[in-house]
Amino acid sequence: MAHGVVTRLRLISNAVPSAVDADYAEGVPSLEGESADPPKSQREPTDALLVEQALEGAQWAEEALYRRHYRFAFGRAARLLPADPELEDIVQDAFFEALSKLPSLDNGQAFQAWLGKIIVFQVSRRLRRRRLLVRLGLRSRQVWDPDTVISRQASPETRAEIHQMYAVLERLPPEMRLALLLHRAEGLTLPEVASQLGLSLATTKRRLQAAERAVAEGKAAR
Amino acid sequence: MIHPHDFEVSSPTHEAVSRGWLELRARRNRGRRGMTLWYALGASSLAACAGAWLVLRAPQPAIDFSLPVTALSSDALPHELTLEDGSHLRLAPQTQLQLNRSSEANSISLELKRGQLDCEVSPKKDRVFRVLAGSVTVTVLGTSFSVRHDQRDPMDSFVTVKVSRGLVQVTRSDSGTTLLLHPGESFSSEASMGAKSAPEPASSVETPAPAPAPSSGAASSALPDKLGESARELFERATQARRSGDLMGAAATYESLLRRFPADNRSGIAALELGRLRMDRLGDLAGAQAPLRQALGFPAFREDAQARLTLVYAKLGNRAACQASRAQYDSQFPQGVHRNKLAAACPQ
Repeated sequence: MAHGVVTRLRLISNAVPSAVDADYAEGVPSLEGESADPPKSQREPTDALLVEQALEGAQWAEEALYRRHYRFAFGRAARLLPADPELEDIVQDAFFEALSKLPSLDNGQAFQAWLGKIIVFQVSRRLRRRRLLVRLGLRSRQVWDPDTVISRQASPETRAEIHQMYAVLERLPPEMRLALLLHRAEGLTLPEVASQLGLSLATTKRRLQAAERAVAEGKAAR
Repeated sequence: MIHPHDFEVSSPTHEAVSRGWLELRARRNRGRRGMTLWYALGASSLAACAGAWLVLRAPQPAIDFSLPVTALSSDALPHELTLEDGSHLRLAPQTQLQLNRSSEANSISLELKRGQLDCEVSPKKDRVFRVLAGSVTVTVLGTSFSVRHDQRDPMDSFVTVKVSRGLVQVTRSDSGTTLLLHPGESFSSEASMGAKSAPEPASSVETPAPAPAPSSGAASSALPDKLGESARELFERATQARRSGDLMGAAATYESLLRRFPADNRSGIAALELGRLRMDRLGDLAGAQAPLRQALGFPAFREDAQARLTLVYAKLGNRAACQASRAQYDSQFPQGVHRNKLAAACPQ
C-alpha cells in the first residue's frame, strides 16, 4: 500500500527520491484510472495544478514544486553568486518565502518566474548587507569562484573573460551587477531583466549600460 | 563576447534536494504551528517571563556541605550554584546531579546522573575535582568544561565532555583508558557499564589509569522520561537545538537517534548532520568520522558524506585515507559536485 503511494508520489515529483517518503503516505492523490504509460506531459501535473493543491494544504504539492524547481533556483543563485557559502540558504529562504506567500501568486503557472524574482531579491538583499559590512570594516570583500559556473565547453578566452567580468562585478553596486548577470549569464531579455529586478525598462537599460561600460573599462585596464 | 551557454551549474544532488526539502518542511511546519499558537504563546510567554523573573530573583537554595550526599536537580529552568571552594556550576534544564562529600580533604566529587553540567572550576592547588557520568570520570586539571549525560536506562547511556579552557582528564572505568582533553577538544562515547567500544576523542594521550572514583547512592528523580520519544521527535528536537545554537545538545540528540533508530529513514540525515556539526561547528574532526561513515550507508546522503569524510581526512593530515576516500568518491560520482573541492583538498 505504502509502496504504491510512494511510487505515485515519485511520478509527481519528477522522480527525485525522498528520504522520508513514508511520511507522505497520506494525502497523496490517486492517479488510478490513468493509462499504463501516458505521455510525460499528461503524467506530470502543471505548476498551476500544484500551486492550487498547495494552497489547499497538500504538502505533497509543495514538495513537488520544490523538487521540480530546485535546480532552476540553485542555478540562478549560483550564477549570481558563484560558490557562495550562503547559496543553499538563499535557495531555502526563497522557497520558504515563495511557499509562504503562495496565496498572493495570481497565476500558478508563473511559479518559476516568480521564484526567480524572489531569488534575485534574496541575492540583492545579501549583497547590500555585505556591501554595508565591508564599508564598515566588519567584513572583507567577497572573492568569488566563477569556475563553478563556467561551462566545460567554454574556450580559454571565454573563461578568462568571465573571470574578468566577475572581478569587475565585485566592485559594482548590486543592482548593476544583477542586471548584467541576469542579461548575460541567465540570458534574459531586457524586459525580463526589468521585471525580475522590479525596475522600469529605461532604468534597467541605464544600469546595464553602466555595468557593460565598467566591464569594458576593466578589460581595457588589463 | 560572453553568452548564456558559456555558463553551466552542476545539478544539485538528489540528496541535497532531499535534505533541503526536509529542512524546509520542518521550518514551514514550525511556522504554521507558530501562527496557530501565536496568541496563546503571547499570553503564556508573558506569564512564563513573570514566573521566571520571580524564580530567578529568589535566593538559590543553600547547599549543606556537611551532608555526605546532596541531590540536586533542575527542572524547566537552568540552575546555577557556587560550591564552597568557589567553583561555579550551571545545570542545564532537566539535569540531575549529586554532590558526594568525600572523606578526602580538598576533594569534590560530583555525579552527573543525567543532563548537562557546565563547570567553571576555581584554580586551587592540591584540590581534586571530579565529575562522574556513567562509567566516565572527568578529573579537572584546569578550569572550564562541560559534561553531558544522556541516559536511556542504567545500562545504556551516553556521555559527552567538552573542554573550553584548561585541561581535563577523562577516565573510563569499564575499559580503564585515560585521555587528556585540551581546550576545544571533546570526548563522546557510549558510557554504559557494559560498553566496550573505544572512544574517539579529538586528541588523546594514553596514561596509566587511576582507580575508578567511587560511585554512591541514588539521587531523587523528578525528571520527565524522554525514552518514549519517537525518531521523528528526536530528529525535530535535534534540529531545534541546532537552530537555537545548542550545538552540544543537538549533537547528543542526533547521536541518540542514531543509536536508537539506526534503520529509521531520518538516520541518514541525522548522521550527516552530526558529522557536519562536529566537523564545522564543534571542531571535532575525529568525532565526525563515525557518523559520516554511518551516513555512507544511506544512498541519498552517500555523496555528501563521502565528500565530507574525504575533507576530514585531509584536515587530519591522513593523506592515505584522504586519497582513498577521494578515489571512492570519484569512482561513484564521476559528475559529482564536490570533485573540484576534493581535488584541491586532496591532490594526487
